[in-house]
Amino acid sequence: MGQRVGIVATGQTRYRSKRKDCSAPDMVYEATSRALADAALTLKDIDAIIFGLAPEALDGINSMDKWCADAAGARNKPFMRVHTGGATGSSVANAAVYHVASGMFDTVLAVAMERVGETPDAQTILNRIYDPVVASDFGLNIINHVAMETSRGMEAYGFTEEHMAMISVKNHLNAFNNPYAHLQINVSVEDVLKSPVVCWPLKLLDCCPRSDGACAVVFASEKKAKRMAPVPVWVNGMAALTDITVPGEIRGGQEQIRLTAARAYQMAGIDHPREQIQVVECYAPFSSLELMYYETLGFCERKDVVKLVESGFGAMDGEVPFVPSGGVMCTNPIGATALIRIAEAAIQVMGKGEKRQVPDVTNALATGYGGSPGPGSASFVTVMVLGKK
Amino acid sequence: MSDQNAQKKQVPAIQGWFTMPPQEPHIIASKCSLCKGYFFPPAQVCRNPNCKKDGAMESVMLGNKGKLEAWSVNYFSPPPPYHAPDPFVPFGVGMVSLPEGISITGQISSGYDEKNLEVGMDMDVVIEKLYEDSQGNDVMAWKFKPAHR
Repeated sequence: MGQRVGIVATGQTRYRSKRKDCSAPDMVYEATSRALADAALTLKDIDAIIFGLAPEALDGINSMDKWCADAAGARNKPFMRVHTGGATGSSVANAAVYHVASGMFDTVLAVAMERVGETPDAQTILNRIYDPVVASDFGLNIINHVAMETSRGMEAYGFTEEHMAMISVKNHLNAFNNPYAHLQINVSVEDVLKSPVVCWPLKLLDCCPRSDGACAVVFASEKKAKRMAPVPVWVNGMAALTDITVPGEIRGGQEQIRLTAARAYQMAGIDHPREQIQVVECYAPFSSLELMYYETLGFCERKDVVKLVESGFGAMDGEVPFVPSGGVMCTNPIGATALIRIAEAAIQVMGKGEKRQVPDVTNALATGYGGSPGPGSASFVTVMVLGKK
Repeated sequence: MSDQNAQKKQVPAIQGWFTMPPQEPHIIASKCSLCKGYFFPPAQVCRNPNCKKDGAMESVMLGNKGKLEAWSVNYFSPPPPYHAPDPFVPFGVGMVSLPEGISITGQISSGYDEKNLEVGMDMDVVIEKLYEDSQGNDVMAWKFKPAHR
């Protein structure tokens, strides 16, 4: 993969439905300055900036990247925006890794944000990204696509609405340990099952919120990383793929996640994920997707998924904790969401997770997923394996 | 009243993607004469990246009996551009695999929900009203309806 790349610092804002206290550039400044402070760096240490922002219609302003470049510290430095929908954050991280791995840059800041609080209705924006005929006339949208993937999954995996609710309860509980998490609410299995049905079988509490916030991660070459961080986190494996939706097909990303993970695992030398990976920050905006990732990320066979959910496999005190941060189900500033997965996975390897820290992490996994499942459109899948060694 | 009804027309949601009554209900796809791949929505040029693309594209009516591969019932009113009736009526959506090996998504006929939909059930392609446009026309398209075979 070219020059070895490490993560030396992370910085996040507190995520909320609407950050009325500050502007979009202020949020970028907050995340960037926290990342620099995390490894006692200054802007002088940064050679280039990769910036992430998903559909700008969500932010209610055009070309937000131009407004935020200064806050990201880009003056007199290379700067570019990356946008792959929900996968924007992890694509930003990948672009930063490519920059450093190429040998052209030593230290690159990846920063991504979204200010969804500026849009009156995010679903209106997302529906207009969808195919105009199928969205306007047929009412097909991202949520009912995931719901269809879920109904098919229930048949194939044998899980029920209760199993999905158990995932939701676990993630909402985890969010209390994360000082940055947007939703910090007590949720019981009964609460999830009784929450309004959005698209059967998905209830409101099976679904992610929309958030304001920004996240920043600093990537550095091996030589610099060893100097900058007491515990540099190495990018040992990474893969990204583009999935074109064949008209009429549904996409929940499961088969594409399986393929992407296999490529990243091969690069990182992971052949038994369940024994070699101690924590997973997967991109699962809906409870049913996380449950299916147990299999597609290689932690069990399909027939064992239900058993694993029932035994608390992914809980904080389980065998392999999934989303100690509370995950996408509790925090979703769209363009930043997939970068948060990488920041949180890196935090776990660094041992800086405080109340959400999983013990003895040597390898952590982060995934990203985004795009549009409309006919002929593209979705993007990313997987990154981070390690202490 | 009867005058209005006489003027009420059925218009397709999009021209050329499906047959209109009184014809038999079919979804219309394109088939590449070279790689034999099916494409829906209909394509002027073969979209298979591995095909030489110099074959003709043929218009074909897909078989109108299939199996339900996945489904959901949409209980929230999608915002515009969806044409939601007022008051909103929940609607089923499904993906149905057709005999040619192509799967198509669309709405499910009204009257079906989680109490009577099941993965694997037999489905018929039907052409039904989606909504009424501003001129009072019935805007039509394909839907899927559980079949009793």
